[in-house]
Amino acid sequence: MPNENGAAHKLEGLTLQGGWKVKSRHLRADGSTGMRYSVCYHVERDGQKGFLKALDLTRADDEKDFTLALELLTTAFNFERDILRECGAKRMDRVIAPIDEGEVRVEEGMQGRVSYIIFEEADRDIRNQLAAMGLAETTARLQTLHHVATGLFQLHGSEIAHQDVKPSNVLAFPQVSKLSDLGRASRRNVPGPSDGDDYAGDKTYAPPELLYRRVYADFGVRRLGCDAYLFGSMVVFCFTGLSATALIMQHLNPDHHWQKWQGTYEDVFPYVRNAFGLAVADFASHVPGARLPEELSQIVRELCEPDPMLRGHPRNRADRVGDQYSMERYVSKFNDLAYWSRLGLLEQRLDKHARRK
Amino acid sequence: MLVENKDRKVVPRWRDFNTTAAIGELSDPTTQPKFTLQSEGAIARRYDEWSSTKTVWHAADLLSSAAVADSAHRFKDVARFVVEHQSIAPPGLLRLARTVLLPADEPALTPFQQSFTQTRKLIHLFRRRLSSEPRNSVAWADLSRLYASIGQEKHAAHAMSVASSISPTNRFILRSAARLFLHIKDAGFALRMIRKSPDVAIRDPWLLAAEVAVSSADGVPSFFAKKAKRVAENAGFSDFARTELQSALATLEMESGNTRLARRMFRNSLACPNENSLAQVGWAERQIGGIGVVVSNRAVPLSFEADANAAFLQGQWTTSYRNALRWIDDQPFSTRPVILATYLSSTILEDYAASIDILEKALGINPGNPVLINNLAFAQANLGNLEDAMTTLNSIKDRPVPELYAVPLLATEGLIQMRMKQFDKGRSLYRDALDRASRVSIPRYRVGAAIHLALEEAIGRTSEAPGALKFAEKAAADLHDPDITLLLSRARDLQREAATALLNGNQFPL
Repeated sequence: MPNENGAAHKLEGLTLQGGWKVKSRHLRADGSTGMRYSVCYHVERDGQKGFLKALDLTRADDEKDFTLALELLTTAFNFERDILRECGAKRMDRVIAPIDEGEVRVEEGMQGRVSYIIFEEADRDIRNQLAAMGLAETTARLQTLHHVATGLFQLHGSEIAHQDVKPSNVLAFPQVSKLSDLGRASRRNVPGPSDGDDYAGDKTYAPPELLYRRVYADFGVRRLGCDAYLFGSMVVFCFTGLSATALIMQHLNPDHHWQKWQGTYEDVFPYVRNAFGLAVADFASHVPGARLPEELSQIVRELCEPDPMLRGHPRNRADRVGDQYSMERYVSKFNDLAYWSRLGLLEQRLDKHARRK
Repeated sequence: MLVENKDRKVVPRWRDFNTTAAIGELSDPTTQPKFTLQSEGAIARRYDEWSSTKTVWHAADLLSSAAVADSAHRFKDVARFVVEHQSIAPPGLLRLARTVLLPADEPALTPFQQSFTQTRKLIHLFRRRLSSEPRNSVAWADLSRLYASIGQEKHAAHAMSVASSISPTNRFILRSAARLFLHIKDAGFALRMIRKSPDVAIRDPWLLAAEVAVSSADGVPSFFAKKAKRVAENAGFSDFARTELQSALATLEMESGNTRLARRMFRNSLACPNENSLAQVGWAERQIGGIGVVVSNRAVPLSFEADANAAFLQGQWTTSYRNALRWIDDQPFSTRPVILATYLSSTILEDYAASIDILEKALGINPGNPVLINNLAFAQANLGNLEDAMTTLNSIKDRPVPELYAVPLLATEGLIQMRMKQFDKGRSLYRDALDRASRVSIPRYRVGAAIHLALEEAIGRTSEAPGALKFAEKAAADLHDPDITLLLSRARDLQREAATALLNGNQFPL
């Protein structure tokens, strides 16, 4: 149990530098997997709402090696803060930006000083957004997916892998959706707190190779390939209510479930691929329209491909140079799909394309 | 004519992927505990979020995550919420919620009979699926099986070659390939495939079992016999994973005359048997005896061969026939279940039309098989279609036929001649069959030919009928199989009828 007496737990009611008033505690991010470092609050300034993440040093108290834990906590905080600064500096408009940061002294002593970051806060995430729309509403879904793809494309452009794309991390603002929570992110060539983890994000959304304990050393395959899968999984979630991994597991014989399988990923792979093929067909049957199911299932087939070496757009893979997992083509694809869907001409457009092929 | 296979091997069964997986033959062979996911916190938080928002999509996030962590069953309240809001729940989620509330029954493992048309439709569907999933080796192997089940061996071999080039070390693919290439008489190729990855084979009891059995069927020594013995005794592998291997090794011991050890190993193989090892023990018991286990009492899925044989030996003809038919549906490219089923339908149950149905389909899969052709001609002759029967027999007249198969072929030709009232020619053919049966030293062949001659003499109401019956009774004196007993009593009844008719002056002997 985390120590609830630390200074980071006593921010409620305080007014911070910059005039931010700390309101109630935020449920998010507390008590999640691994050693998370933050305590979260709702904050407000002149009617503008924000979300505050405070560094909780008392979390180190529970760890065996206190100094190492302290180092990990501060490294994680600084790592996320640096990434967020870069996101802000590069104007990544599909990634949650920090709007303030600073420190506040709550008590005397070293642990009485609390460092924090404040982000823009959305009232809703994609789950609320989906709950507010009908099952046949396609445009808003495609629009959101376009924004998520753009967010990932922006991050990948700075060699940052998000690693934790899931419904609760896609925040819905009135006009735009943004990726949030870079606490599990990883950067190429920059040591980070998640580097030691096979998979830093939420394991219940992890791609199959990681559930079966197949870890690739290369940053691209291991981290960017994982992001590509997670984005494909978001596409699946938006139309079926299940992650790609959950859908694959539904079509997998229980004996081949990752929990039971003691062999290698290579051993179980033919069965996973077979289940994946059935899952894609299942997914297509849940997508409304005549041509859209085919279009989206092709995207899911490319992005959620169970062999990470074959994941990604075929043209990216065919190119000897460049990023196999680049999101650029998907940004463009979802932009197109959302645009034509908004005009009510999506099916005609896809039909024309299909005939041309 | 039915004669027990003298050298049954534990060659892998070849079923479609879903059935093979459902009976557990593709599970992890070890007995290690399960892995767990450190995701309790994330799932608990998602439950809190759902509790505070109560939306279907928060429920989706929770159930989807819990399903991956294998803990969805803990959230029945959430699943109930989804089902109550089914009009706004996406269908995938709704299906998952229903599974949480009412876990699906175990899939029924009854193989279903497919017509050629249905099989062709399935082939079309698989080919379409493979156009978008060309790397799906499991689907290629299933396609291969469909081709094999309608006798398209070249297509079957091609599809299996694609499957094995995609997944050259996978158990399902290798065992399926072994069975296919054995079926199309290329056991050497099957063996090369298994032996190509020795490091994979020696850590998988199922692959070792296939290598030992196929080597033995091909008459070549096993590469891995020594290692296989060690694996067969390694308790790190589950009893079920080792059952076929123990059975295959026991068969080797039995063949080399070490019957004591073979019996012990057969008994060990029954710790947790599959239907193949169970059928092997049933067979071995009939060959060497002394194993001392009752095969028919075990609830092993798909054990149609063992059940058919056990029922046959007890004279339970309809049970045996029903199981033989299921065995055909389970292994449509195999001739052994067809031979048993049509022996029962023709010789015992006298349902010749059913025999013809089964045999015509089986000959589409195994064209030119002399035993199937013999059985078809026998059924046609008994239905009175003597010309058809003769044409059927003539279809293999010019082909060399092993001595073993010559006996029933000659006897059937004799039957046709006698039904054509060509009694001398018929008798001569039967005598020829009896001579050959003596040469191949299979008592059942000799007895069967003798009884059928007696039956034909009685049906023809000839003067030689009493002598033929006596000869048959003498020949069958040491054989107490229930089918022989039945046929003999049928011959006696016919003989009595003929004698009565003669006494009443209704018919004269020919």
